[in-house]
Amino acid sequence: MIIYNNVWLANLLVREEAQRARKVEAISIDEQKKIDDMYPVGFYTPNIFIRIGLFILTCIIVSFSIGLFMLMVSDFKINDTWGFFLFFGIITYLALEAMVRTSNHFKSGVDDALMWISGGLLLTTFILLQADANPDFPYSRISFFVFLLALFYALRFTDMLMTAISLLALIATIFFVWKDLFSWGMSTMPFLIMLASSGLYFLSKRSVGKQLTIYYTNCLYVVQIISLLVLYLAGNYYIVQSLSPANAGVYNSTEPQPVPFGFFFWLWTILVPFIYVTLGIKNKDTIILRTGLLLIAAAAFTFRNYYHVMPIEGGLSIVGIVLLSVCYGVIKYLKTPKYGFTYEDLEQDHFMDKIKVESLIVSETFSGTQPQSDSTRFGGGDFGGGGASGNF
Amino acid sequence: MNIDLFKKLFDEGCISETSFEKVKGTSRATLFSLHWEIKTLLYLGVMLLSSGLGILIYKNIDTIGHQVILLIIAAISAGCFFYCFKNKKPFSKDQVKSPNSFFDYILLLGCLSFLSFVGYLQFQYTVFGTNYGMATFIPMVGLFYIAYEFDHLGILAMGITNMAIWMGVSVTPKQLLLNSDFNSQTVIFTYLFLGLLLLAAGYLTTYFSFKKHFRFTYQHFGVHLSFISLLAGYFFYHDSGLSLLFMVVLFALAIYIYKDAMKHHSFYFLLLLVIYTYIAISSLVLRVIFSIKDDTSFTLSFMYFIASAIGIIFLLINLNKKIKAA
Repeated sequence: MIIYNNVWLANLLVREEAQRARKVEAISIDEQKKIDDMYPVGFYTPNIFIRIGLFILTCIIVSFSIGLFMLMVSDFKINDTWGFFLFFGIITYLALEAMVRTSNHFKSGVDDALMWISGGLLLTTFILLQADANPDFPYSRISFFVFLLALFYALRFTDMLMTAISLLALIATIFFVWKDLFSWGMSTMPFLIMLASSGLYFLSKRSVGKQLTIYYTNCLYVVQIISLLVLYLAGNYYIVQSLSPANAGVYNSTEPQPVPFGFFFWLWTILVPFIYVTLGIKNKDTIILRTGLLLIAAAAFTFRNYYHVMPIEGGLSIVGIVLLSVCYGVIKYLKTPKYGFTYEDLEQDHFMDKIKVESLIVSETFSGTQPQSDSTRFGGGDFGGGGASGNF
Repeated sequence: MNIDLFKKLFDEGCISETSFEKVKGTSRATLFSLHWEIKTLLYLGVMLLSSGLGILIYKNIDTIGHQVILLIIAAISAGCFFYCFKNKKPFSKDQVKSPNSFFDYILLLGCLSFLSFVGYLQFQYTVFGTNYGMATFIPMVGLFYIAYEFDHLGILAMGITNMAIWMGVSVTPKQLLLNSDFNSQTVIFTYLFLGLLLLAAGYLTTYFSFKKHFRFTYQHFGVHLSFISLLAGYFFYHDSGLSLLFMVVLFALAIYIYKDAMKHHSFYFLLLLVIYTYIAISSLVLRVIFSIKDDTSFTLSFMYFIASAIGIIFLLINLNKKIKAA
């Protein structure tokens, strides 16, 4: 199923393992070189900057080629038929296969671009076909098609983003089908989605490290992250309330109906993020830990949406102080590693460090809005810049 | 770590016995690092606290006494700086690793409240009178001093941003694209001057080996600013002969950046250089094509883009190889 050379993929894993051993200085540079010689990898995988460049350029080439073709055949009025999109979808897909097979492109930007373009074109073909046959076709067909298409790309090219898309499309399909299947579909929806996403989580958790899925490890991590997020969101009070049948068709109403079992959903909204964090620390699982940290913020926002305990600026300041003191405490506590935890950065040459991403983020979020007229020409990067731009 | 794999590597003679023992040792005692989690939380904490305080001041500007507010901000700022001076490592011309991330972010908080302090002082008491240049000049000098004293890249970037504000323009890429208007001569020349100044600063840091690792930050802002302002200048003077001068300067700059990127093995600047030069060349080519005033110019321009993009792909791949070999 995988399009890539399996031997090379296996060798890549060996190399990664050697790289990790090299980082903790268990093996020497010479030994790493020796391993690299023994396990050759012929893929063309440039670094992230070149990848971005190649991605943009491939998009330029494809769009101008299609544009040129449209210019040439504009007299025949075929530009908006499904056949036109199908034709280009197939051509770009064949180009993708050819690039990967002959030039050994492996996550090089060229293959990413072709994958997205061909996928988009094939999806457009499907939608046009459906719309031609029956103008009000159910959404579940589209989401199911997206699921199949993205799953195919994910399996064939071991692509992480495609995995994410296919998983979300699967959840959407379950949602739409269940909604239309029963009259009580919407009332039971949170529980069904919870069941489905927790099932997916445990399935992917089990599958990591197995021989069959050895090349899909990163994809399985994506599945874990997304299913954890969906599992939480399925029981989040705000989402349950917005989707509950009592509020169907009522948008932006000032007094939304409370939902049945509201107590359960409130417990879920507040407790699940903390359960995630606890599990993450207990099992030393980065994925569930980081997801939990992210979701604590979501829980806080949900809570604030219903109960205005204090004005926002007081809340921000207090949360900020609490965060800073918690971090201070943790850093002090972990000055010498305890229980297998450390504060030190174990992977020093992270690529984010190389381009000094941290300093750029700081300058981007704290630089504030620019004074143009003289009357406000002071201060500059002071208050509220970060909060206003909503970048965090 | 995968012990079986390293056993195999050991049997194949790739690694020595001592290395194999080391691998076994490290895999038994793996540490779990909370580094990035804590860093993110610190960032969030500083951001929330400083925006919270900012809104607090903004809302209560008429109710609580000005002195009280000023005192609070000054206390926070002074407290942060006190902590940082107490815990800092001695100054050195080379890179100084900060004691920990907490230190970095407390320093950041100190700077942010310092900026609020100066801004508030100016707004309420107009300490600097109507001399707005001074009101931005002093924070700028302060930020640059702090950046060098504590070796903090984030504050250096803030200092550069402040320098731009002092000159009356904005520099972060997002704002450059969102809300700058390039329709005035002064703006273009200010940007160009600032960009070249930053490039020069980047060059000088390596030349004098004074905080060499600051070069990236200077150059990052310098490259974006200079290229964008040169392109803007070209379009602004599109109909006069001056436009060609901008192009000449742009290509000269491109050659300089190319040599520099090759020397420092920087893929990032190489990519920027290729993209900006490509835009410049394309606008020149399109100008020629559309000067024909014919129906074929559309088709020609499409063909140009297809061919040139393929060419750039090969160029990028080759440059990538070259930079790796260099």
